[in-house]
Amino acid sequence: MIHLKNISKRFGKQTVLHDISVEIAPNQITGLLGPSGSGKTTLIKCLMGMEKYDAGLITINDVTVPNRKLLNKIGYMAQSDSLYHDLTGKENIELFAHMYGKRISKKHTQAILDLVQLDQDKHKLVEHYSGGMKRRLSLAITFIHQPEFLILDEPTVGIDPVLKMNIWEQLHALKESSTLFITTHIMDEAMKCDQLLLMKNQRIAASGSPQEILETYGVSDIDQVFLKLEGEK
Amino acid sequence: MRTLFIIKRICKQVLRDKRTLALLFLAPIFVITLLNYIFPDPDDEVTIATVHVDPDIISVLEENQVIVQEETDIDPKAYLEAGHANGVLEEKDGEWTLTIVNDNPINEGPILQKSTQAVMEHNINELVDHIDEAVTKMNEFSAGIEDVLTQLPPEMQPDLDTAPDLQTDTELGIEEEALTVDYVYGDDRYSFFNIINPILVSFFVFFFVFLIAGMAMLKERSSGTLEKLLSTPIRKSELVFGYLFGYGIFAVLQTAVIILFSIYILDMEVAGSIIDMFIINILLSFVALGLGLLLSTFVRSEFQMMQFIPLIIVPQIFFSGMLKIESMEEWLQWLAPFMPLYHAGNAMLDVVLKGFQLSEITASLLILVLFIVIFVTLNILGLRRYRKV
Repeated sequence: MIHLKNISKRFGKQTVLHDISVEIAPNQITGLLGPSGSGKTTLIKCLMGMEKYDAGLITINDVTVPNRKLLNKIGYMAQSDSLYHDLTGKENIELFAHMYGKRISKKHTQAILDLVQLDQDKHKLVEHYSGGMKRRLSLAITFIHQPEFLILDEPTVGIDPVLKMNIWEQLHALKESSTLFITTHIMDEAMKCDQLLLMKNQRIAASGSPQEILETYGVSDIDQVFLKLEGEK
Repeated sequence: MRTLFIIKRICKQVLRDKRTLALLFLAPIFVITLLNYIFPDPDDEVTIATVHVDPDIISVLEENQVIVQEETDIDPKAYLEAGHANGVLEEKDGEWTLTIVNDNPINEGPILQKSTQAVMEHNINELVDHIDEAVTKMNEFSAGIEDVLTQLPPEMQPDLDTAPDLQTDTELGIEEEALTVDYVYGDDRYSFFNIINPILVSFFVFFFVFLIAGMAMLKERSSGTLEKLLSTPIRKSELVFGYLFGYGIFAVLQTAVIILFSIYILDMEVAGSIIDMFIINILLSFVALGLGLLLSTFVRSEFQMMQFIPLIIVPQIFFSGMLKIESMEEWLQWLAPFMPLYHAGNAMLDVVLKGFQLSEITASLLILVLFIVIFVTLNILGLRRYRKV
């Protein structure tokens, strides 16, 4: 279980997160939705222990963040691809696997390569990969150690529709064993999440399942929720 | 364990990057070789044109391997500019004038030195001749007195030994060189290269390792892989040591290549032990690694990394032992101990030129170790920027 209690964060005089309290439900996909600059990435970095929060408390399985050992249970994918371009796809997977201190069996590596359909290109240097291939490889690396939590910052940016469908299917399959926390600013993807957190002006403006949110605001798509929120202000 | 995999990864990356490999191994060899041939060889021929110069001086010059061209009526300036000789020596009423081009102070050294030596030798010889003459005259004089005395009546003859030991003392060592130069370290075959090469070896080790470590870490930061690595449970110290030893392997290899090349191909003479040279430079390369990794924290692009070269690297050359620290302004001297290259450069001079033993350079080595400890600690702390634990 991930708990965020009264989290605030400021960079100098600028408030980036304002009094955020959230519980992230296990074995579900929780989507963090909001326009660019609303503080999504900062929230994720606080969750990972990469950024310090000024006030409040974050716990994962009752362990206070930041905690290095906790990272064993988390798979993280940043917005950028974060791959070694001068290594092959397979070498990238193996390197990060070793960072979790696990001897990953050949079978497991192979299964993951098959899952993201990179088996044929595993011996190619990543610098020769297409954008979509890099994204898939990044995704594969996040669940190499079968983490309990997956924290993905905009996982489907720059991916073609077919592959996007494919990835969402995989995410839903991962739900069985993991809790997923995903940021996005693409509204139609929001509908695929089980739970939604709408972020606006450094705080959580609305939360619930997509259907609940649509009903509360009496609108037919998520875009209109944001327009309504804008109007309220 | 994780450190080991980071090291393995760095080796793979460097070996695949042919340009970096070339920069590490070929560039220093290229520059050191160039320098070896750029500085004039002390055995090089020097030509001096002489105008009405005493034959004694000419013979001294020739003894010193100077090619002498005897001229009678020339314009020194035009003569030199035409490239007929390296210098023109004129004698007029016992005064000597040496004309040199002076467009390159390094080249003028041997001419000045050899001409001065010849003139000095000549003058000393002349002085000796004068003394000789004086002695002879005195002898004649005392002989004359004796003659006079013998003609006096015997009862008036004083009981004097009028011819003292003068005769025996007139044999001065005229044939020997007027000035013998003794060298505390090395000998007269030492060129400028011999003296600056040990420092250059250290400088290249420092410079190239600094550059490559800094650039690599910068790439790791900007590509997001550093953040990704720190999202795994790796310890910050494991990561820093992985970097240190991963690039350290190449730094050690580079040091070995530069040292062995200087000694066996360029004939650098080492008075001390080669192993001591290795110890100094390997420690220095780790200092450079630590510093490079650290400074990459403060830059956003390769260009900004380059900006550190005039700021961090170049000033260290001045303090590396090529120039005398003692003759600098006092407030500058104070800076020297803060420069890693000051300690390494001077330790290298001690080992290579003066033949110092390991026990005599321990202080410098300990300071280098201290630099490493400081930089490694700062690097580990610096990673807090990416992860708070």
